[in-house]
Amino acid sequence: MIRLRLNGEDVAVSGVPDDAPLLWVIREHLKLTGTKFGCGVGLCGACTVHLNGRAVRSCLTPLKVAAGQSVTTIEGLSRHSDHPLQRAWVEEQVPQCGYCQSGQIMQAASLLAQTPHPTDDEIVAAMEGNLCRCGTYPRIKRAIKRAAGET
Amino acid sequence: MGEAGSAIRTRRLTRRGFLVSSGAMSCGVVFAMAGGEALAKAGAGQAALAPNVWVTLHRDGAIDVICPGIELGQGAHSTLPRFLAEELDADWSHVRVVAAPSDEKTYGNPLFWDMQLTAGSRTSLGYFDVLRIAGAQARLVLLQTAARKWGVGVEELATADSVVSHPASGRRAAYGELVPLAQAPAQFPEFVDPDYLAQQTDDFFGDPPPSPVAPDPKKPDRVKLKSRRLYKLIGVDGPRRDIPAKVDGTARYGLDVQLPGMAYAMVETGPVQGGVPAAVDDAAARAVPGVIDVVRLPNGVAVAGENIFAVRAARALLKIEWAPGARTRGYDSAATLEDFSRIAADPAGHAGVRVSEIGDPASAEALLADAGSADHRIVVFETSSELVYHAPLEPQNATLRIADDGKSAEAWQGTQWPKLDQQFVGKALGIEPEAVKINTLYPGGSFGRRQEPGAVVDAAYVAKAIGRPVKVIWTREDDIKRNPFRQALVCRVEAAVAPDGTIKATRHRVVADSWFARMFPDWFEQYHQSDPGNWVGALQAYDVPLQLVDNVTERRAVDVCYMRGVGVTQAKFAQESLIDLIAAQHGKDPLDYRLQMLQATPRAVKVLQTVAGMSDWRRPRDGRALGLAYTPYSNAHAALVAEVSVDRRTGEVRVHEVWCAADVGLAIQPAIAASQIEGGILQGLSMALYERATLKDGVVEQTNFHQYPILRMSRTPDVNVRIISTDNAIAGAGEIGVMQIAPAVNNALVKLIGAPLTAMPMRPEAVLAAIRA
Repeated sequence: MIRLRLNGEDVAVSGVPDDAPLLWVIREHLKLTGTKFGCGVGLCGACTVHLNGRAVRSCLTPLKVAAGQSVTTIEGLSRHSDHPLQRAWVEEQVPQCGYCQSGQIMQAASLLAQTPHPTDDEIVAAMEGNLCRCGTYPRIKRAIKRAAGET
Repeated sequence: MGEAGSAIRTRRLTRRGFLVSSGAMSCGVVFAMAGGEALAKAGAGQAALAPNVWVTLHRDGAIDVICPGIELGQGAHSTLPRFLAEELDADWSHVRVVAAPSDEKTYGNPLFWDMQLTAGSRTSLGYFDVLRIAGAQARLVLLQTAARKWGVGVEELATADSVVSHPASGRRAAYGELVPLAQAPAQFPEFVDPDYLAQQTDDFFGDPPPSPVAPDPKKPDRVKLKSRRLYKLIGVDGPRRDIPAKVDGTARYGLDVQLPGMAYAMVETGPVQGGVPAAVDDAAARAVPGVIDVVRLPNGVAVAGENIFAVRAARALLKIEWAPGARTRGYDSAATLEDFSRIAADPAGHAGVRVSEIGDPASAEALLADAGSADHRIVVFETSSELVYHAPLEPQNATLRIADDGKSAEAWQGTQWPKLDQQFVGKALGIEPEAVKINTLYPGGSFGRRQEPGAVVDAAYVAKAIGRPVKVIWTREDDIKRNPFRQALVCRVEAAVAPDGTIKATRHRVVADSWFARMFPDWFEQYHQSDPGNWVGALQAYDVPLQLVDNVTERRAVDVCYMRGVGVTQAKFAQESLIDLIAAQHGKDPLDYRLQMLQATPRAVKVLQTVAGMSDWRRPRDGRALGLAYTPYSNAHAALVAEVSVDRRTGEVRVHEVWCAADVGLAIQPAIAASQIEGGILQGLSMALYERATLKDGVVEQTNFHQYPILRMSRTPDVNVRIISTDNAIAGAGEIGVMQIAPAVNNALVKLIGAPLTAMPMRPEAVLAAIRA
């Protein structure tokens, strides 16, 4: 059994191999499906969550790495879906199909937590690993700047 | 899928010489009075009122509107219900969107052969009339109810924001208050659109069926729909309804479905598409704790387990020998394109099907056969485009449950075409398609891929074998390997050009494999053994008096399927590059040259002039170049300018900024149209520069995004889109953005490297080769 803090609550995970990808533990074992599966090998960013506040690819993170640590998913980013990035995402009407956006937002939240007022280059560097097939990148960039302007 | 094919009637048209077309069909949308009849029997006092099959009004004021188009991220749920709400004078905040069940008889798209398929940029235009009629019927019921209640005439009443009012007396009644008192009339009147905008002939779909609201002097007594000048919802931007749930993880996609007692499964398939397992050693896989069963499928081996961890572990332990002779073995994508190129250049040996012509074909043939004279010379330009992977970010998946008696089933997944899923699942389970219920969730990207069933068929076989509901998940590697790709295609365009640069004749030959030929042979036949997805867009939009379009269908082993932009993206890559080539040969500016040949098409002139202004077209860029392209599609018009640079050492092409002006006719939600076009441009850029699936000996060489790169943020240009709403019929905006970027980039490249490229994607190797030449 492995204990971790998930979105501010203590959870105990049992019956799952220690090296299982955190992604599948979160989605299919703990039933928090906001975190998405895209590629399974860290190439698309759809599965991005926070481990102790820093963005990680949950598909490459073994469960045991999260033992005793704090994990935040999109469901835990804010209490009322009102994180400045979430509000900015709505203002800029960013998502189309929406599938990649949990990962995009978690990646951007990690960026703003460390760099509250990022330059364009810093935004690109942070977001380069997150794919969007619908082509919402210009809006993602605008939404990050909008949220950064609020904080 | 022959039965679906019978929906198309083929006939010859004279207009612009389209040789194949879907024929006129009556409006097939049903206005069943089921709600009204039930209401009449129930009498007064009901809690809900359903005047027709599209809308239900509730006592508490809520209004449920059926949305027949699937929300793919293109805004279907935020646009289609507006048509009904507009005519109903509903308060938009009272409207709840209800996804339509799979029922083509009731909810089929009149402009898409009465099918319930969300594709082809046909959704908003297809349902414009029927949803407005439905709203007008509901409003009429409310008006009559209020008139009865107050003892006044219907003509004395007004409606706005879900309230009926009697201005003379100041009385008001909310729609919800009237619901318990309402009685549906025995029969609704017919309606007419006072500002009717006729849908035009479409290259792919032919003439539209007659509109039920078109003006008709023989029917003087019809009730008028709302005048366009009074619209409050149509044409007025509002936030998309699906977005809040897409920023906090609550939006539900196919992969998110969790059923009680659900098993998990993954499917191992052979190295080549269509491979059949010959020998399976599953002893080690079965020994993994939690594994339920290992199931043979027609083209794979499924591992089913209690949880995904067991399934993943067990799948890796399968030992499978694949039968030799799978149909795709030996397929080589590079050799196939070389083959297509030879065929394109050999009209005598491979005539193909003449799918379109303008003017006298014999004159065109004669002109083009004459290698050159004082009057004209022949310019030939040929392009190829490789297989492309749709690459939705959500890999294919499905969850399926079979009823205890085995006679029905229920599936959950994202899809564009539930009816096709029903047919495939029904066949796999040996039950009627109608006994398969499809619950449509948000798809995590579609782009044409989800027109064709995928994991849901696997799920049917596995659920049947293990007797439990199951969620089948394809990995990214599965999704690439099993994808039906956008067709590889060669376009060869010949033009007879007069000394002054006038184009006297063109012949456009397209060689490609066909989705229709594989999946819908009846349709392929009805299009005279051609595939409109390969030749749509191949007619020149310019004033060229003699035009020929020939389509050669070359069946090859690898499955192909339409993708966003169908074949237009590839056809326009060839054509629009050729236009710039001819302009340069005659010392003409590409914008002026196009304007000169589009004088008969004011909408084209407008988008070109607009984008020229937006981009400051005539201002030279230091170290960079501008490229221009124009394409019409499905009665929308778009022109685009791209600002491009090249790294002369690496051959990398960079696009820095893009401007696009688009006329989509009556724009229902201009901001959504702009976002669709913006995304389309970036997807088009990704395909133009990076994307290709290659096969060697039948094996797809790319396994994940490291080998199949798609556009990332660092290579994303600034995109400026201007939507021009015009007094023309609604045209779809879902695909047109994809189509101009590749030729626009190519036309800029000519200025930087001296020659146009001839293959998509436009790879650094080709750029370097052009520089060296």
